[in-house]
Amino acid sequence: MANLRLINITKFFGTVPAVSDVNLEVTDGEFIVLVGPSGCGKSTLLRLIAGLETDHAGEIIIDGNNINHVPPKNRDIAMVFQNYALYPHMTVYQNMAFGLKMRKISKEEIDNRVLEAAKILKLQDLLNRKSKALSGGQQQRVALGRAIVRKPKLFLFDEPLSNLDAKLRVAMRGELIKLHKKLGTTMIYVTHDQVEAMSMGDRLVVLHEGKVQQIGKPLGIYEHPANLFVAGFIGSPPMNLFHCKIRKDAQRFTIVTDDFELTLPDTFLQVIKSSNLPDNRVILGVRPEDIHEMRPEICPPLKQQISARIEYIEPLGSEVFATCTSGKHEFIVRFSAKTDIHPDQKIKLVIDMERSCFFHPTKENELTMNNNESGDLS
Amino acid sequence: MITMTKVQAKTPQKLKTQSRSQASDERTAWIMAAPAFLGLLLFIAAPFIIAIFFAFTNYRLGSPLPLDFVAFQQFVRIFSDEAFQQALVNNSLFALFIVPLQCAIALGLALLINRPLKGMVLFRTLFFMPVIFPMALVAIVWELIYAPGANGILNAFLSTVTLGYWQPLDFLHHPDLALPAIMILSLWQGVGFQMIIMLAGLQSIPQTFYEAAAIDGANRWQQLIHITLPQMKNTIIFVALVTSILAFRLFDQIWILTQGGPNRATTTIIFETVRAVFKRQDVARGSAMSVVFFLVVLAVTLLQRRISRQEREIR
Repeated sequence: MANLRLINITKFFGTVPAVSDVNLEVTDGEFIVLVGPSGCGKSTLLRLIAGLETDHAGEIIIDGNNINHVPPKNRDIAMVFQNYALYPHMTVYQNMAFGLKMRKISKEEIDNRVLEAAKILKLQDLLNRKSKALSGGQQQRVALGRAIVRKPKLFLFDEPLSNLDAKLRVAMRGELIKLHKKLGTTMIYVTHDQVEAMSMGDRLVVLHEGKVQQIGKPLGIYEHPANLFVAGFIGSPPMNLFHCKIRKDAQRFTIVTDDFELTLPDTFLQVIKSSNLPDNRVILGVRPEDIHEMRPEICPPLKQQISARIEYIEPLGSEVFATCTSGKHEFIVRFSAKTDIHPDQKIKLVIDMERSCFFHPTKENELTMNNNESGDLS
Repeated sequence: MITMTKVQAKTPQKLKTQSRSQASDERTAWIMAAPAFLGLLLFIAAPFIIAIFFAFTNYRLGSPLPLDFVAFQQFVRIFSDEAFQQALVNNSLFALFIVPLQCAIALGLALLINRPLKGMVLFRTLFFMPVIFPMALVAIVWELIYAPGANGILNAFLSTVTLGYWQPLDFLHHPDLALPAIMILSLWQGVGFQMIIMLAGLQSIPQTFYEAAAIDGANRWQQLIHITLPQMKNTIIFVALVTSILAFRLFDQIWILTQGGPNRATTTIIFETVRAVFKRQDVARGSAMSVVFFLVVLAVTLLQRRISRQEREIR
């Protein structure tokens, strides 16, 4: 178990910065997910922690010790690779025992630990099989087994589920969460799948172009994305974005688009006033579930209603995502599965303004976040 | 559209067209392959079959005796011939030393040049260069190196490094040194080829195995023993097979440098075969020797295939 601190980590590949100026503090027993699109530097960051990549600027500190120049084998970490990297010429048992054997642990102890891990991962019947002869899911479990027998300070996972089919992936996701609960070891998990990130991490680190975009609890990031990138990346479907202008009326501020007008709730008044928006432009972000079909009892003033047309619907069983248009604007609205909607239907919608976000039109940051590039909402 | 094509494909007419086009494909394939087939038949298969036939006769160029079938007599004769016995011993010795040595050195070189360092291309080229030289040229160059007397390159070199203690030797005409001398030059000439194959084998090992092993706590040496060597098994077996065949085929160097001497110390199966046929016109005897050579190579190949098949099952 370990605390991990990354201080100003920067890594170049040639002249291209793969990771730039990353700062992160991971507390003992935390499950941290590094998430971002491919090429965002998340795997590089993980490999830097593992010691598989070197020559970086900044400091990597585990339990107070700078490990910049410590080789991977002495870092007391275990890593699960995307393609599992099981040794094909060894049996399942030998694969799991290899790391212990290299560390000169007694045969008896190796036996105990491998059998214990095999029991946890339900691999008892496969111990004498060659790893090549296993299915993807089984190989994945062996790779996990190889990591947990070592009882390392820190687990690193590099997209470990991305080679599995959808059903198995969901099952393994659950297994991993359970495993983390059971072992209580600090885990750092890399994925490009934001659903995986949201469902597994205690905290997420959203990366883009080598830079940290936001660090925070999954729900915090979902509800308050730090910038337009995070708003678009976290959440599926992504946040709806409307380019608007702010109009100052006598007492209140109104958000104006070509197609509808919305009253700015008082909660945002201060932020909008102090934000120095160019030409009073602002980007309004609304999650699909924060747009509702208008019901008579909550009927807002006429101008606050959005007249939209449903273009097409994506029924997912428990819910329906409808892509709607209102004038030039296209956006996605979430309905419950029971709602009776169909394409080409005309519909009146209202936005739950209290739950919406506002972004700077050029700097793209969220306005409530102190104008920082990232905000830690943990 | 797709379904329509599928439905149509099932109609008898379509089936007929399909098989017709298949037949025409096959015909084209045969026509394309014909020149190569003909060449193989004419220059490899036919001479070989004729050789097997001659091995059971008394055929000798220019002999007044009529062609006669002599069953296994030629084989009995060659196996009781001391020169041929010595040739078998020499070839086996050559293979026994060269195969493990050359494989080990090739693997060593491959490991050395399989690093992403600057200038590796230069080393790769240098090590490979002897392979592209014809053996005749290599033999002549090494004849200068092995030249007897104090002025021979190797003698002069050894004399210099031992501060004059070295007594010049005639390597190629020394009964104990001639075969080792041939071994060294053969190794120098051939190792680049094996190195390239080993290198290809090394490069096909996924990098993540080494990364996983590094995290598992294996140092470089342990990675070599536990990852590289097991992963290279099939490549090593293949290289060993090729080297064994080349070792039994040993001829060019011998012909140019030693003529099998001194006192048969460097004679080989092929050398004896060539001598039997082209010096003594004894085609039947030479044919019997080639058949023995073929059987030796076949045995080595089958052994290798057996081992590598087991390996493949394990992998």
